[in-house]
Amino acid sequence: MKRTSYKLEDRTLIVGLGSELDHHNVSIINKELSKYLQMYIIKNIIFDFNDVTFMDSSGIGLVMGGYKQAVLYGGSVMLSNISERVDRIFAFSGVYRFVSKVEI
Amino acid sequence: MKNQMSLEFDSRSENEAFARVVVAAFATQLNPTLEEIDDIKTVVSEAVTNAIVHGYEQKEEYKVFLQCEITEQTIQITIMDYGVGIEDVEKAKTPMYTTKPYMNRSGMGFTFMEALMDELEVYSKKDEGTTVKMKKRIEAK
Repeated sequence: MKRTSYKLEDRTLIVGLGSELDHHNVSIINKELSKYLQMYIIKNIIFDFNDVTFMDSSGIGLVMGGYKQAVLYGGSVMLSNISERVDRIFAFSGVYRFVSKVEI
Repeated sequence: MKNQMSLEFDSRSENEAFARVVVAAFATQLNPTLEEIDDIKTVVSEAVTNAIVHGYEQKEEYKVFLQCEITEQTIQITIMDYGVGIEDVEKAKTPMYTTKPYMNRSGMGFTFMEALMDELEVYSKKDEGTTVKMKKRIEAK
């Protein structure tokens, strides 16, 4: 199973999400993410879904949690490499009112 | 055809993945599409997460109970906990409603279960626990 990776480019944090986005893994990512947000000056967050093979509603919580953080710094959250299924879940739950898709 | 299985496991978040994989494996005898398997994995994940996060409030020493039954082309999945229970089930089912917003929970769990399954029933009593029963028909191919 693929782990989540983090890469800082300028003031944008690129989060390469691991394969399974459930409550268990999202709890771990949230902890790691808040550590990065404390340690570095980060404005934008890109969640890269390239390796994601499973996502439940915990993924919505993760993205919206990131959005709440980013707006505090006048930044934004973007999503990349979204599969058709994940796209349907995000569209269905209204996430695209707050975040947009980006190609990386 | 009729086939039944049941399972109990500790209320640890590691078991969310275990539970959904087990149910997906059990459901393969209905010859579901990949999308139907994803639907089943998602709803099991939602219900088991609710039992662990809300029912047992993340205490890891309790048990979650899972039962699956296949009757002809329909799979029924039951997930039960003896946790704190839900005071107002209808309110809990409201999209985006969550009692744990500080945990970044989206409040979409029951909404997903309703959207992805054909039937959803929730029985709950305060301080006694919660039972979630879901059904999905898998068309024969």
